[in-house]
Amino acid sequence: MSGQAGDPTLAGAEAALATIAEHVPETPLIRSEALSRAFDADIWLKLDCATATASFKLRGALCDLLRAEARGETGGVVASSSGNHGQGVAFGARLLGRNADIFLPEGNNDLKQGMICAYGGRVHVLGTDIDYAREAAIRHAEENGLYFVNDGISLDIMEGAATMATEIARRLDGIDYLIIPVGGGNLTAGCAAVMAEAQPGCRTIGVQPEGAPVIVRSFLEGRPLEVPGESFADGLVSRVTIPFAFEVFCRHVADGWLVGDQPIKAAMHSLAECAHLLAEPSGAAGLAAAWERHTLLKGKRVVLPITGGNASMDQLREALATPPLFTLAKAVG
Amino acid sequence: MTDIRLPSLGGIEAAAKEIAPHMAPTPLIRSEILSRIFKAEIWLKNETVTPIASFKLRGALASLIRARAGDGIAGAVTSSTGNHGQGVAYAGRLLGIPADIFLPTDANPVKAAMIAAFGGTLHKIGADLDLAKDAAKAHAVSTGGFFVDDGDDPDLMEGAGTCGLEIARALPDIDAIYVPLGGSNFVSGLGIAVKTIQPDAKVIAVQAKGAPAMVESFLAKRPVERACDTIADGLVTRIPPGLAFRYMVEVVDDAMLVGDEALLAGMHALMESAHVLVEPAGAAALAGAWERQADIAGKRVVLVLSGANATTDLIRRALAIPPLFALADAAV
Repeated sequence: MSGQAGDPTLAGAEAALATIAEHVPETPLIRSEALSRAFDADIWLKLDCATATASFKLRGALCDLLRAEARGETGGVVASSSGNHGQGVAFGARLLGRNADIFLPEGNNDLKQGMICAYGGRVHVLGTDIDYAREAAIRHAEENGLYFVNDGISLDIMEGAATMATEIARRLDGIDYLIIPVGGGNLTAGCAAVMAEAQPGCRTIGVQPEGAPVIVRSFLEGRPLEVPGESFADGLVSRVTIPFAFEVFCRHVADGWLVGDQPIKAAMHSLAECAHLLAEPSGAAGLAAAWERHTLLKGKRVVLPITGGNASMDQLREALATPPLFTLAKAVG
Repeated sequence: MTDIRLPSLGGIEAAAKEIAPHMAPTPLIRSEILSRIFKAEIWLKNETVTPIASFKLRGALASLIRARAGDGIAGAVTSSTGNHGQGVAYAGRLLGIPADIFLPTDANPVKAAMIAAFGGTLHKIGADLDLAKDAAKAHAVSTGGFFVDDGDDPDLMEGAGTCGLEIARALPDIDAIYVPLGGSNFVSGLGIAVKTIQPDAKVIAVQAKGAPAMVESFLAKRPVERACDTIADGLVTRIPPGLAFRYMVEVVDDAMLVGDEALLAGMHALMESAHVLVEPAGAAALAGAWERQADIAGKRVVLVLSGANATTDLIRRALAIPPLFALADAAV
């Protein structure tokens, strides 16, 4: 659990926060009365769904782009994404007056693709999954002399993402669990490294869908695996581990939990009913996994980042057609 | 009402300091999609992401903090369709003050359950909010409690006004702000802050067609009583309150009505295109602005999303009708 040279640090994340603060105001951290009662615990929600791109991704993208700009990288940028990272990069690039080419896998979320276009990003749909899209994006950047925003390798992205933990740790003491949805593991790894310094008593947990478990399974087995994935939570699907993110993840994350798509839908429903929030499936995965372990969490202070709100209306309809994890009446009755 | 202290920008600034330890400023975010749809610069002031999922904590905190600092209080009493009651119950618990909340018998069950969860004691009484208010006042008199008056309390109005202070300080050169209108306390407090700091910004209040008392009163420049029938329980007032109405006439530039269908379609549009869940009242600003598209084009406009205490049934109803506009309409 100890840090190594090259790991993100609390100081690095604090510097990142100062770098992005002008563009990314602090997001709300609120105690949920209804969820606290349902869990018989102290449940706090970190609302990164309430940002300009409705996800946490702007943090890392902007930190990376701003630090690159300071090094003289001012040309066009390229990124690969299941959607939210692409939005963060497209939005950040436009803010800095730079062009963005975003590579998405086939079968991506229409809504996210539409948002990337709206932010002025040029979308390329290529490859059967996120990791193939990534290879295509890297090639495109090399061939055209563009800057690849490397989600998973870049310390700047990771420290940018970890500003979420910095904001949480400043506002709230004595956190027992920080439970974070995992796609590539970048956010979870960065936040775990920061919490290890800021609140060493906090256990940072990574959550992935059962249908797309590569990072959590690799973590539990202690070696990088390749596992094709499919999940309702489109933001959490990876096939391979990316070395830097995975190494930091293994050093600092306390545990990895898997959760099914049904509980994720039920958690979206519960967040709408009990916390009055629109979360996308990825953003609800932490709550879904936490609920399956609510006996472990009883009496604890738990922070659940709601990492994104880019749900399509079809996803929301499907979630509302699924019974919630618990009803509001049961939670507060 | 003759000796009442009058709300002011200075009072709103003081209220902002008083409530700051208990609630952070809410996000004010430029919506790229809505800006494209309206061909304007559209900012969303998101009051849904507070511990009670509405703006009502602001006024309740300011009122109770000041009442406690004054003569001290044994308990807080109020009447509410729900969100104000949640604000008073939650503020009471933060400050260690017991709260009795009176609701109409047909009050929104989600809001009622949340009031109880925040530690408020519920009293369901009266066919509408104004009758519940009478019962609450009588209870306050008989128990010596402090009646938190949503509409005739300058402290409460200054607390609500902190929302306008946050907007006017964070974003310069605003052309117009659209604000949901219930009893006019919110729009009046917000308007005092905005019009003092940015006198050129227009403040436009939006109420439900099925509950038009405040809009008709505003247009007639005198209090008019109207019956209420709307899904937007947060926009309902039958009898205009004195102080808040007086200021509404002074600081609000225009007032308008929108139908329940437009509120539901606005909820749908906000979920799809801005990724924010709102209750029907929380969609009023968008629905009002949508009717004024021609006025808004090219302008810098703030829409206040006032709350999100919607039942899942209401969310389903909103998703079952077409949105005011589709995300796809924003495509280049």
